[in-house]
Amino acid sequence: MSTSDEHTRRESARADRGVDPGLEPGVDRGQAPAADDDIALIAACVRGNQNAWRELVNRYSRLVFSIPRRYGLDEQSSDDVFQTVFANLSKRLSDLRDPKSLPKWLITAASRATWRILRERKRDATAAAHDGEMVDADTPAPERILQWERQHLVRQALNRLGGRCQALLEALYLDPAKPSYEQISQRLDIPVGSIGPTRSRCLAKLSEVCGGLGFE
Amino acid sequence: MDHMHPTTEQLAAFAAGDLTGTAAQSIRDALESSPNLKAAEMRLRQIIATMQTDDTQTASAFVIERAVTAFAEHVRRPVEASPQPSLIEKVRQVIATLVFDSRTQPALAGFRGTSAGYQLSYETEGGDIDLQVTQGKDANLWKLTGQVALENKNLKGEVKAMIADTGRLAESANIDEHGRFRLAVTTGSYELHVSLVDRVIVLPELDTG
Repeated sequence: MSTSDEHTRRESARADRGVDPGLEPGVDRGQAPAADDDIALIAACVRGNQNAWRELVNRYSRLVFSIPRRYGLDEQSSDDVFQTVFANLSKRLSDLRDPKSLPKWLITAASRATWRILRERKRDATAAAHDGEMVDADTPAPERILQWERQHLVRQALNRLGGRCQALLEALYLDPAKPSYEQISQRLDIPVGSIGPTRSRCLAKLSEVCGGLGFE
Repeated sequence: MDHMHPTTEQLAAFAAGDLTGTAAQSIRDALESSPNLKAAEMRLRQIIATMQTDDTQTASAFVIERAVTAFAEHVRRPVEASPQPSLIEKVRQVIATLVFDSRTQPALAGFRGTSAGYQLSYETEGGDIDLQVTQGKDANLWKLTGQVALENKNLKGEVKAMIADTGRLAESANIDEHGRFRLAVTTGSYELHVSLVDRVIVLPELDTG
């Protein structure tokens, strides 16, 4: 899709969200959008609310931990990246210029911390040939950042959805064991023949929640 | 099915591949005639695709708890607004914060600093500075290899190693357009002053040896 088509699609979606007569009416909009949620959460952290800090770490733990793992770091090194990123965040919370960009900030911080480790390992391996030469820090491509932000948003939306819908959609799409319909039926006490229609209902609800969270 | 106004559930069934035959064709016809429906169906497909390609991993409860409790102290004391420095002060000096020292990272396999060399990372407004400290052939001589990374900044400048106790200049070197610099100092305690066009970034408490 071209940039202009994408822009048009986004503008149409924003303008008509919730009023399109063809879409299901009366859908519960749920809680405040994640962007607003993050603003309130960050503000609470800056005021010293430790529960807010715990919530913030939990909310973004998957986003941050996944990045060093994707680059091949083991669990221990990924743990170090994780601690580094949240240590920096705790010091920089009050300086965040745009709280709505927190996901991007965390992605950048985690990527940078990961690449410092990888760069040092590469330097150790090639020290004889490249004495003192620094490797440029890597910055993830914009499409990868968008993908990682979307993964984060969808997971947040599933958490907000909760209940049977969250359980069903996670079983169908996110369970690495890839359970069969029969297994899902037994696990969730849903007739096999009802899984498809239930999935559609849950996807519709998930889409609404994702829209409210700023999924684009 | 009202093919002119399919519900979101019907769109979801279509996006998930559950509809066939005339039911699917009805949806396709409706999508052709409504950009809003098309956008809604596109979002459903992207959400499904996002879940299908999810490669995220969760940190252990222990890792998360470490981050929560270890840094709760920073959160417990609310940051007080510091008085706005004057423009002259802003231009003059910015203190960088040490955020990583390989000598204090025992968990990093193969990355722990040694007596022969270690890695430091500093953060400052708008970027960071990486510093590699390695011992020269003379055990009393240390090579400092650094790189400044700032957003949209002219990185050419000068770096000075100031002796911590006396404030006297020990060594200096140029910073190239890529923000890289290299200088050598003897064993001791220093402050590095990284002078750029609009600021001086101070890397405090640099101990070699």
